[in-house]
Amino acid sequence: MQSVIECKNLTHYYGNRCIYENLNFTVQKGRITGLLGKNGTGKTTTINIMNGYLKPRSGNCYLLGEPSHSLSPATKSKIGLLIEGHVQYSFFNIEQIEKFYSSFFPGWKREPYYELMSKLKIAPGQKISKMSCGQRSQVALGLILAQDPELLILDDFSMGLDPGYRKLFADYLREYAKEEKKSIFITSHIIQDLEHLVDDCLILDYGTVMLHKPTEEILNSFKRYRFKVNNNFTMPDNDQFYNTEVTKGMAETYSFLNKEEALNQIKTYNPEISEIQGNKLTLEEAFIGLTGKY
Amino acid sequence: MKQFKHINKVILVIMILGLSWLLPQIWHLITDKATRYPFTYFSSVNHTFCTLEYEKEEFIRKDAHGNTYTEEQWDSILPMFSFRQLATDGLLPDTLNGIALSVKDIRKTNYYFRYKPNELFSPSIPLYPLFESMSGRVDLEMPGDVFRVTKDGVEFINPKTNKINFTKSLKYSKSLLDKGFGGPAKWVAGSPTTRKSYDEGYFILDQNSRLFHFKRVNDKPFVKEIKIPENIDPIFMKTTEYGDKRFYGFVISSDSKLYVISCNKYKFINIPIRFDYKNDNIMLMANLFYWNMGITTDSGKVCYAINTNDFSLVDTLKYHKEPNKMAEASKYFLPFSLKFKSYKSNYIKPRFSAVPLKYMLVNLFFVILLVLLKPIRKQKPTPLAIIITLITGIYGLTTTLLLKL
Amino acid sequence: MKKAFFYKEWIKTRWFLLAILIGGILVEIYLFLKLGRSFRYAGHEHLWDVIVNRNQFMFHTLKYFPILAGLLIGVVQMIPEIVEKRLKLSLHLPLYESKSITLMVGYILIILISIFIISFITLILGAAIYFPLEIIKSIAITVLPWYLCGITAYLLVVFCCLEPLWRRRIINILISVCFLGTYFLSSVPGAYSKNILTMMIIPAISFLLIYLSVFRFKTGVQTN
Repeated sequence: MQSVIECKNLTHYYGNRCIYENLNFTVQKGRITGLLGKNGTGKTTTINIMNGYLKPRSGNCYLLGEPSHSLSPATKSKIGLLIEGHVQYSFFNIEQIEKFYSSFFPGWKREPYYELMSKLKIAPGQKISKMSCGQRSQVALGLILAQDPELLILDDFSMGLDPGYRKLFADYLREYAKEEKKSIFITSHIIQDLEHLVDDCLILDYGTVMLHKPTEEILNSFKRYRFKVNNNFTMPDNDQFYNTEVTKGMAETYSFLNKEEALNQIKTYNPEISEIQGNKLTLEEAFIGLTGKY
Repeated sequence: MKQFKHINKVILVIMILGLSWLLPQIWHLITDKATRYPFTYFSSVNHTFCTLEYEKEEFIRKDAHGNTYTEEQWDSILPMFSFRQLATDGLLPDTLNGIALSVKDIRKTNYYFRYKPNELFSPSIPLYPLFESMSGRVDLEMPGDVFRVTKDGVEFINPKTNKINFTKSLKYSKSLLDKGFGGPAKWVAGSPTTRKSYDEGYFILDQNSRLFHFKRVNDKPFVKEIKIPENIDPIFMKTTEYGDKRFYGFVISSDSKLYVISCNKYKFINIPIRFDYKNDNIMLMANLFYWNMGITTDSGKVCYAINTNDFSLVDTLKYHKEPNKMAEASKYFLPFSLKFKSYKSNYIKPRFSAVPLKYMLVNLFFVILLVLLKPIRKQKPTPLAIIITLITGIYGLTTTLLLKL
Repeated sequence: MKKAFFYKEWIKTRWFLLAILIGGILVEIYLFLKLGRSFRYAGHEHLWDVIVNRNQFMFHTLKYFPILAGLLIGVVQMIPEIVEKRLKLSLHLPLYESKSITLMVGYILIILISIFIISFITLILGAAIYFPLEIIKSIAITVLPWYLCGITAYLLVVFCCLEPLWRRRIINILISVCFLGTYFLSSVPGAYSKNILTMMIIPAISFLLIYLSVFRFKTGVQTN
């Protein structure tokens, strides 16, 4: 399979503070990939590097085979960007902005844009700056759809949106991506929004890629286990279990192991434990399980 | 975008130039002190220079031999300077050096002339009012038009209509052309003011470096060619129109010599002083017996006493400029400077000056400072930073610190 | 694409450009009314006399128009780009970044220079009614640096706005103040007549500096 994004040995510091060293990942064509990570793990840094507005200290990030900080015009036209906050030229109205962008992209499709616009209740000639956050997000989305890029990079699309608009946005996007076989790279601080949208999850932890797996796999196999323990129980270091906590005689841990494997493993630490309770998780819960609450 | 990385070097140059403009200015602002030279006047009585100095809230009056004088004594040895006081006190001698004195004569021959380089180096608008020299009235009147000098003579323009008076222009042009005038003018000298006792019109140097005296007498053109002695290349002239009517004006030549054009047959007479027309100021206080000329240069002042009658040099007195310690000190850390303004010119343009190379050794100190600053700056100075500090001293150092080179 | 860029900047800045044009016209109306009054008060010959022989300049008020126009249009064009982070959009358009910036800046330059030329020609034509060629030349050479200053002011606002780092932006502002200061060093009419070339080099350098800021913006400079 062809890769649309390829980050090789990405290393970046702010002053002396290391964000990450030798970060590597690739995103395959036709996939919707969500970038997840707690604040400060370098999500924004990664997006900035990808958008070409930050040159990493070392390493490279390739978009459609070209270094992201010096994309050729042809490649730029194949990449649609949604900048955090749905930034657009707000002095335009929806017709003016469509007219503006259309001259830059040879494959411009005005229909999907106007289709999306027709759903918004806006007066003709209304400036984008006078629109609500949700309406603006639809304009930004519509423009990206009209551009018809191969690769979409969307930074925090849910920012400032009502639940309705978030759902609208996510559904529209998924339908579009699947139909047109587009590759999408997306971040959001509301993980719930990504659950039904992304094919793959790329989770950043401080300094590294913690996990890069299909969402389905995470949802199916990553579980929370609870079991009764005495108060002095501690879980030994084990990379099969994540973020184990013991409160009031109850232990809680997360693992990709199935119930049987997990029980067997735990028994080796404490033979008294005979029963564990396993739960399926939402993506948000899985994320917390993987990265911890703090 | 990569190719634009090198514009960074442009910033470096700009900052160094900017600092070499600002820092010296700030230094001057803080440390500048006026240089004062004693007032100096040549005595027509003792025939020696006399000086007046203000020291410790007291006036000290001395002559060049070191004798000191009271105010009254001072007045009496400088009758040409203090004639009003002396006349009021009835102390003005009847004769001096065999010449009868009267307040009227003294007034007529007492005059001043100044030259500063910025009179020559100054933008001007080449339009001139041509006064009636023989109106028969005591006061001069504005002529109601101005003239410009063209290729074919002169054109008179009426300010009311902004139109050329062709008849008048033709009449005056013809007179000029008849005398061989070849316009346009290299320069035109005259005093375009009604506040003078009489009018001598203008002196015009034409394209072939021929000098013409041009005026309006009884509403008719008066044109006279003035023969310029061979080795004189006049570049500036200032007309005088002084009461004694001895000369038409002062002429400065390209080799920095000063001449007067005598009213007697337009003779060029050299005044025996040394000066540089681009840099030095001239101040003349003339009287019946002596011309007191002061030439102020960057390094001091030279006073000349010149015989009024035959322009021979009588005496000179030199004052050296006291070295300004602050200005001297600045040479060690302000290796060069950029200025746009100069009191020697009214034109704004960049002017560079640099101190002798030996002072630049101090730049080494700045390089060491830069290296010592490493722990505070948390970075090693780059070769570029060291090079620019070595060459441009404090400017390079400041730039390095500001840009974190 | 060029057209589209101009279209965008036009929609964004048209009212301000119109305001500048009207401002320029009002300044000139004021200047000529004042000139008329001076003629009535002082008389034609006397006014010519003080202009020619006493360095009197009749159009000093004009000095501030170009620089204010340049600063205003620079701020109006660039501050929203930076505050709303729209510059990222413009630089992602399928053109080389340097070309995008050249088009954005070029558009304003063309219009600003056009307004300045209109203002300049009106002034000269108006003055030509009352004054001879010599005075016109002096007026032209005196006001020309002011217009160059206006162009420089615009370019320097762009230079300062596009710089990503505040620390460096302050240095840029200081550099800009120095640059603009060089246009106001003398009130003698024609003082810059021997130096028009340098005064033209300054806007040229300022234009170059814009690309440095864009380069730094693109690289996402964070430390120096």
